[in-house]
Amino acid sequence: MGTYENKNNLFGFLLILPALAVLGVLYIYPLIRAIYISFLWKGQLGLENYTKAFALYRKDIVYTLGITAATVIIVFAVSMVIASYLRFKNWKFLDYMYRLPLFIPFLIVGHAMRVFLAQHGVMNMIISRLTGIHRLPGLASQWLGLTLAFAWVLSPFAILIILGAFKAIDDSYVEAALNLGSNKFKVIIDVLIPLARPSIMVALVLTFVRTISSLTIPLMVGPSKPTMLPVDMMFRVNYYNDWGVANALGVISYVIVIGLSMYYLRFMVTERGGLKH
Amino acid sequence: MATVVTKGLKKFYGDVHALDDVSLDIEEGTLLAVIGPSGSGKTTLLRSIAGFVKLDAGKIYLDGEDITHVPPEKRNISMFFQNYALWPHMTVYNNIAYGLRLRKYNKNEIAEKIRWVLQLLDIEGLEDRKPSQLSGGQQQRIALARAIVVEPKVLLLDEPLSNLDAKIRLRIRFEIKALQQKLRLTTLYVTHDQEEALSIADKVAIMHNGKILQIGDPQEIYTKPATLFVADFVGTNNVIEKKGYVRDGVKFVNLGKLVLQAPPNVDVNKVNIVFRADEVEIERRNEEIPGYDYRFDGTISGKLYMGFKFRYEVTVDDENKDIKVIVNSDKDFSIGDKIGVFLKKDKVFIF
Repeated sequence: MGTYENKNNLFGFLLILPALAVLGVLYIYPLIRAIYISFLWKGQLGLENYTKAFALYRKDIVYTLGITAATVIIVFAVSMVIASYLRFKNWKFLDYMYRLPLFIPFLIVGHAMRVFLAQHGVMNMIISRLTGIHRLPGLASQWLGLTLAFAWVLSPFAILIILGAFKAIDDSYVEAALNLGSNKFKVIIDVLIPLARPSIMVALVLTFVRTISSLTIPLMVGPSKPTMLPVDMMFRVNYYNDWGVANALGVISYVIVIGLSMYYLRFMVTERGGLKH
Repeated sequence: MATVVTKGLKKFYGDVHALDDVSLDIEEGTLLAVIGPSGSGKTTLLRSIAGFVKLDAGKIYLDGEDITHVPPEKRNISMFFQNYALWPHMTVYNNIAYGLRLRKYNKNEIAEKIRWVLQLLDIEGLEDRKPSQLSGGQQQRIALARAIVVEPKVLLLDEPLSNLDAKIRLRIRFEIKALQQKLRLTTLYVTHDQEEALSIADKVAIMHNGKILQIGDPQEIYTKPATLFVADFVGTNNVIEKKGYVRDGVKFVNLGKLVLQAPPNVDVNKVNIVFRADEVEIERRNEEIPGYDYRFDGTISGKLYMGFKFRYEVTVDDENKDIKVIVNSDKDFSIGDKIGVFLKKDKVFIF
């Protein structure tokens, strides 16, 4: 009996071994190495890289957090509106259109948004035509432009997850609320959002992680100073060959994401403990 | 409480006629049960009255007011869902309180009403539990409590007992009937269980292919079925299709040696003789049972012990050797026994 179980365990272990190996080589080893290098200063272990990173990039850390938070808020708002609308109404055009950015590479998004949000770009042209105001600022090199670019490219992922969760909620839960006198807005607040909370959390965590780790879009859209941490990391390596500070910035990003992940995991544990379907 | 009237309701899903000219009245304070097989349109009818189905034609009136285009949230018609639809993230208290909060009752009034309904349905003490922590029977009562606590004009019950086991179902039938009578709730009760409908309803409607075939009180439906479908659907029945004949302008059909007169409107090429398994008596071939009008002979070809009775399959002594009927009896026969089957005139329907 014992031998049979041991064989079974070994077989199970062998099955997950390739995935473990990939995780080890591509994630755990580089992570440990990055953490190690971030503490390495002229061949000695110390906090100098972090001191320098905070001295040079304190504003960028705050800016990165601000842009990421603003993106998450806008993505949340947009995805709620579109997912709620599509939960109740079958509008094929919107259903296709919201997915469009999913198929556009980040580089193209960056370029398109630069053209769209420039001072004499498409957006200002349309606003000028509609309002008659001709002196409009270009958003392409401002934080708002960067946030809008992130929101445009990341909203479809969030909508896809949240709409999937909304559609998976049995119609009877929605109808029971309508039947008792609730309007559709109340149904969204009282029934759909609470029941889809785990999926909404996943969508927002993914949006946060993808925004904070994005390089291409902040390189092409938004101000050059302050800028986001991945851009700083790239410049630190490309222009100064300073792996220590670059890795320190990487670890700082990682700590922020880990903090969020801990919060998410705690939420999921509470959610599962409280809700047994 | 209110009166519900539907006039000429039509709903098509492609070629399927979910509702095909459905007109009915539910009188104030009464319970109308709608029965029919799966896909007959009974749930579509219920959902139309609740406001969840966009009708292709027809009108729905509540107390004389046309509510056909009134959205569900403004009808004040409560629906009990087959799967209960209790929100899993809310406690029992919040589930029941939901409709009351929307009606802007204050906290004390809500607490008072919830106390009343929990007491009425004998489910006190469950207020702080989540639906997943309740048994099926408790969930069923909470869903019922949520539906009636808002004092709806009409209560719609969609297969309310279908998820419960047989024993609880029987008990709750009595409770629902008593509750409906106590509160004088105008109720539409949808079920596929004809015994449930007959036992609980003031009136019964039989639906098939989107049409209402017959509406009447339970006894009328049972004793005077208007169509072959109704006769076949209500009760455990034998339907024997035979070719009839006309003699001196009168239509007849034979079953073995038994000669039955058929109504003038039947098609003699396809006459259906219907009688219920419980409404016949059997005896050995050489014996007679007084008080019965008809008799045909047959041979026991199958036997099941049902606990309270035996269920026999009888092969009829007819020129068509394939005619088999089911009869229930408390007499003990063996397979191969030759018997006579006795029927009363008013228990045999010919279509």
